Amino acid sequence: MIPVSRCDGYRMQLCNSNLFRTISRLLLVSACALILSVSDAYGQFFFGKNKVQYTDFRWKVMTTDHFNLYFYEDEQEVASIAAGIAEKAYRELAAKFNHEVRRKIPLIIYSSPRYFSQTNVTPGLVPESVGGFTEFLKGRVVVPFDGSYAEFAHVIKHELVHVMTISRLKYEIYRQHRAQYTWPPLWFIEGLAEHWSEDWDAEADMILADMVLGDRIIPIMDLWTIRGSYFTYKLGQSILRFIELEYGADKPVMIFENWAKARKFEEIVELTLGDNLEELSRKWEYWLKKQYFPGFDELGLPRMESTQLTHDGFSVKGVPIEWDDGHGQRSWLVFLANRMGYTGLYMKPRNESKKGIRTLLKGERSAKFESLHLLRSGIDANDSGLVVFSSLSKERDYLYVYDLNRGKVVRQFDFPDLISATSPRLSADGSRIVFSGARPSGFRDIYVVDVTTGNYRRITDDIYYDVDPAFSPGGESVVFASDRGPDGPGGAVNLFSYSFATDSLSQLTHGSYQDRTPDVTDHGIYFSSNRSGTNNIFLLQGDGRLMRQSTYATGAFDPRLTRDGEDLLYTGYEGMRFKIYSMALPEQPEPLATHGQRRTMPWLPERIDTSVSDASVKYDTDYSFDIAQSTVAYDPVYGTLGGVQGLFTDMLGNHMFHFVVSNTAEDKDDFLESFNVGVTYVNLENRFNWGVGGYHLVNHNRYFTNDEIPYRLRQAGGVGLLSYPFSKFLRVDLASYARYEKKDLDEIIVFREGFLLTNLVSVVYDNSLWEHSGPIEGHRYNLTFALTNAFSEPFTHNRMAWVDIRHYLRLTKASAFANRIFWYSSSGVEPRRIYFGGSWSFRGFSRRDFYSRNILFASNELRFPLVDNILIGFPMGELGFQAIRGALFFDVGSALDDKELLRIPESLYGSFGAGFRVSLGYFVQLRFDFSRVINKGFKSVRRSTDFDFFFGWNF
Amino acid sequence: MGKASLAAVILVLVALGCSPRYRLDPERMATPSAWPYPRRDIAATGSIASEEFSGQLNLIWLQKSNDKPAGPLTIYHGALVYPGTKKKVKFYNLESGERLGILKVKGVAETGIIMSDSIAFCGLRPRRNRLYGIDLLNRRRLWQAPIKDVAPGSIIVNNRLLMSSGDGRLVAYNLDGLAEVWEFRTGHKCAAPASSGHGRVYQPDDRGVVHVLSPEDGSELYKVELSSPLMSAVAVGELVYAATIDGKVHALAPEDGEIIWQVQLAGPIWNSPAVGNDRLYAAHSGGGIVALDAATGREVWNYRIDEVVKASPTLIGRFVVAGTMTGQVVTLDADTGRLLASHRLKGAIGFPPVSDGRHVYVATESGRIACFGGHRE
Repeated sequence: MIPVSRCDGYRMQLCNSNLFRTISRLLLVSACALILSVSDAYGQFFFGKNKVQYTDFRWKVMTTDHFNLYFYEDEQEVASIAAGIAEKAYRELAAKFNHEVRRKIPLIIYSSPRYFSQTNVTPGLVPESVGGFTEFLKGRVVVPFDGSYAEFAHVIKHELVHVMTISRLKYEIYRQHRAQYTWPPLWFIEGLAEHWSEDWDAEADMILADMVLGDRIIPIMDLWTIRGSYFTYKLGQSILRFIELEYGADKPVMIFENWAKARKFEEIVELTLGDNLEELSRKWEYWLKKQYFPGFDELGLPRMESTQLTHDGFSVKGVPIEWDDGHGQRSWLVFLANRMGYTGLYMKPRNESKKGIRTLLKGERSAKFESLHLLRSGIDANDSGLVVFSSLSKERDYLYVYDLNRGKVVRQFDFPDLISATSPRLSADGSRIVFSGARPSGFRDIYVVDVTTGNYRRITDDIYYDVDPAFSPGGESVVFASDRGPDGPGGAVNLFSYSFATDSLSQLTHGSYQDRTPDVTDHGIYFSSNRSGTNNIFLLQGDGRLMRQSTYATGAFDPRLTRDGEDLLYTGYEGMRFKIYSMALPEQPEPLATHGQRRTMPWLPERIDTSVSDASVKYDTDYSFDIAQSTVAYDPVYGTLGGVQGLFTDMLGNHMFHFVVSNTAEDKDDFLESFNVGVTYVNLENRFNWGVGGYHLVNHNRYFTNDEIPYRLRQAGGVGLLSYPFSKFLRVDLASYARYEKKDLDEIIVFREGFLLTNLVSVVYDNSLWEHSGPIEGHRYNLTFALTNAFSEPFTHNRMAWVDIRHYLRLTKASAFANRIFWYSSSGVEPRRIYFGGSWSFRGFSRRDFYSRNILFASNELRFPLVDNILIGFPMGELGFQAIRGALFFDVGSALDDKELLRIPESLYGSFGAGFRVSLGYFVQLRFDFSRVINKGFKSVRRSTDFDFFFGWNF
Repeated sequence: MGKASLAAVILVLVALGCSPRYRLDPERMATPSAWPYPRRDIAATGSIASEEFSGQLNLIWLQKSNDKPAGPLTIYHGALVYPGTKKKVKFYNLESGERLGILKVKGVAETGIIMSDSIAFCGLRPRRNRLYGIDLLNRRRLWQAPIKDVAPGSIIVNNRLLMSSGDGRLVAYNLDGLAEVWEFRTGHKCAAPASSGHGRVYQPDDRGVVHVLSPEDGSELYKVELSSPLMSAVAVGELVYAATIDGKVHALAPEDGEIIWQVQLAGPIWNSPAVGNDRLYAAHSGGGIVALDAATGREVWNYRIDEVVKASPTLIGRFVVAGTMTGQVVTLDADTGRLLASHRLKGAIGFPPVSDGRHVYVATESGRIACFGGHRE
């Protein structure tokens, strides 16, 4: 099985989140609606992809000895199994950690990754590669079930290690009265979670063998350079395994025991092991070499012993076809790949050449092809030029048929009662497709769909994990992988055969292995298996003889025999990448064993006692604090500001209350009447996200009339919010603000007093792909229109239109040309003026250089990489930068009054310059811009160079 | 005048807020020390022969300390000695729970306090890395010696203080002056203190080796390699008992270290077994307390508590007392393993219960110090 990263305990991708946008927006609404007229900075947050709650879950809670398990009605059976797994895992881990968690652990279960991606427990979008996560604010564990009990148990246990780690650290810190504490590095946290949640397996061997044999081992001190990647998990697991084997089984726990005895993690490790990190790293690297080098004389690497067919990025699931493209090319390879950040469907001539790659379909850019399941689903193609693949579209998977002859998708198969449909395979005559499907309850079965009618039927119907189906050459049977064998309870997956004639199953391979991705041919069944330690290709002949076909030290998967029966295509792992290779079939090797066909033996997964599961109760919204913080800020114009904000949410993150309190009094007499208070309730439970709130805001002399007279603005009112996402990429936001407003100069002059109603509608689209410093591909737009009416006036008080379009043209893997067009206009009795300028808008100008009701602006930027992963030593220690990016930019725009609208060229300003963007990891970006201003009308360039320093992403 | 009054009030408040410094009353010197004095060290048997303890867990008194226990509790001269994580050692009246005073030390007393007459010895954890000898009669620090990453607990054998350390040393100090008499290097870290019995000293290390030494000069008589790291002191009865963190209890012949029997329990063992009544009582992190026949290793009873038991169980007369990491204290009948009483305290119990023969004293990680006892109902 090809690995996917299973846990994303640390990474919370706030940047692309619908929820984050919502919260940010509500913060802004609550804090001050007038920010609209102060800065355009909020515009940066008005994008973001959407987390869509397609399904209305009816949540229930099951209480066990150590868990509050949250589940919905469709997954009652999965929940009982999860509770059993969790309780067993808890006892094992408590003994390992020598520690008890003294609260009920919230465990939230989803019956499918498709539902899991809708969770509101984390505000960010949940990538498909995330197999579960532990949330740190409330210690919630969120795990989806994807049909495999072994994987489900592994992920639950992995996340429980995180819960235990956090609890153990808190315990030590509390015990020792430490106000500040060291947090372990990610390799330790994830490595321990892997080490204590599963045995060392072929997947781990694949990654480590590749690193050792390719001389790519990363010293422990430098593991920060790959943080967040799956390699961190497996390298960490290897280090922890080495520590236990070489230093003693007590050492992982002793690291916690010694937590308060030193200030830094490095010191704790040295105190516990007697070796510092450098020495530990040296010993570990040496140990790895001793482990892997001896076996290398009998094993090979894919690139050295096969023909490499794909070269860029990740390529998997290659299918050989013989199809005439009309230009004489007949032998093709169709495959899935992630070459530039997005997953797509590609084809290329079946040779070593890097040229001739054709993009059949770009995934992850539209709602129809939201995900092509790069590592979770196979594809198929035939010589007629039909390619069948699975794609996530909104909530469910569909199967699609792409016709190479017509160059487009020609057929879509919809399965209304299935949430997932993966790994489709065509029958030889192209009349049927077999695939693995999952019901909303979470259980996976094998289905067959008639291509002509679209009718489909289930050929297995039980609780087992049935995947990777393939027709026999004659179409009379289907071979698939399943955990239904006698070794299934231990996680083994073997091959099984379903006969259409007899409607019966038989077991083809046996043993505690992972036998996957069969290709049924006239030679027999080619499949990948870890029965040789690492994953390699095996052949099961019709007489039951089993023969090994490949001997790679890293891994080989997804075998497909070419039509001429001479070569075997496979996905190979080498150089930390999956690529597609072609190998000649070996001489007839010695059979390893003979596997007879057996009838299947049913087994049942362990469940929690029925008295516990039957006592489940309906989920009752249970609020608790997420964040409470105070802030003090200094602004050169506004002076010192301070406030308190807090966030209450429920256990599922569906309901949240946000409040803000601050005071803007300038003298003590103003104190009581200068409280800024905002409370907002947001409901994210359903697809319609809505919110209501109330606020009272006062700002003293911080705004200016058209005649530059400062005024005080007092507002009190309510806000209603509505957001409807059409898909992950497109949504409509509606907001309504009803308020009392008073605008005066020290009560002497009252400019206006009355009730206003503002209605605002936005259309937001975002399919951008991000890298370290910001978007690099795709496009985003925000079209907003607002009307404000005064209750006392018969006409529109003001109008506002806002257009912000951004496009990112990918040039290379890490470089892009980005442009932005922005237009803002407000009119009416009292048009809204906005400030414009600064690092996030018009560079070279300060944040308040432009203050107008009409803004026109365009920005162009060339983004390119400079350095990846650099560690710089400072007197106080080393500081690591994940990436340094460069930018060349040219901005043009102006704030226009009504007269200038007619003569835009004369009123334009410009700026140009260069900048650096430094990624400090996670969300922290430093931006340095050096720019020069082109004066009004583009007549001259200012001699001075403006330097701007800012925290934040590229536009 | 106003300022003077204010200053006086502040001084009074400060005085009220401060605990008195502990000074050992010479009259109390006559009170026999109860724990770990019965066999000179707690690690050797973890038991006290007593007919007075009823096995009941009626709460006699409960004190709340503002710091957490840093090392094992001990009982000397009628006082319960509580080494805290805030660099203070607190002394409590055994009967009433009244705080008798505090002793400020310059670090966290990881070893707890062990006393010889009026002198209190304590080893301080990193980063202080010191061993102090303090005269409690006049609260004077008499001696100090360097020691790196000291192991919790210590023993006095033949008028020598034995302290084990994370750098793999077992050092015998002269009680008068803390001069090193001898030193033994195990070659590996010592996470547990030494034990003594049968005229020998037993020092476990974190590679699973029990080093058996002469108490006179520290020479190694023999060593026994066991299956996995030893994180707790060995218990000494007729045989020598060592528990390893792979969940095995090993019984060794004191003469030559021959393994007489070994038994696999259902979870890792991070604490020392208690020995008495011809039985051995072991608790493991898998959530069980087990009684084994001390001579054969045969399981006599097995009590599942389903909570991690980190601290060693204590045998008081005919009762086994243990505390769990969720704060539960239980008393079991030493003969049958039947649960006689339980009490749940706030905070995990990380150090063994101690007893003066009448009552049992338990400290939790939330700073609760409880005294249990009472008549059988």
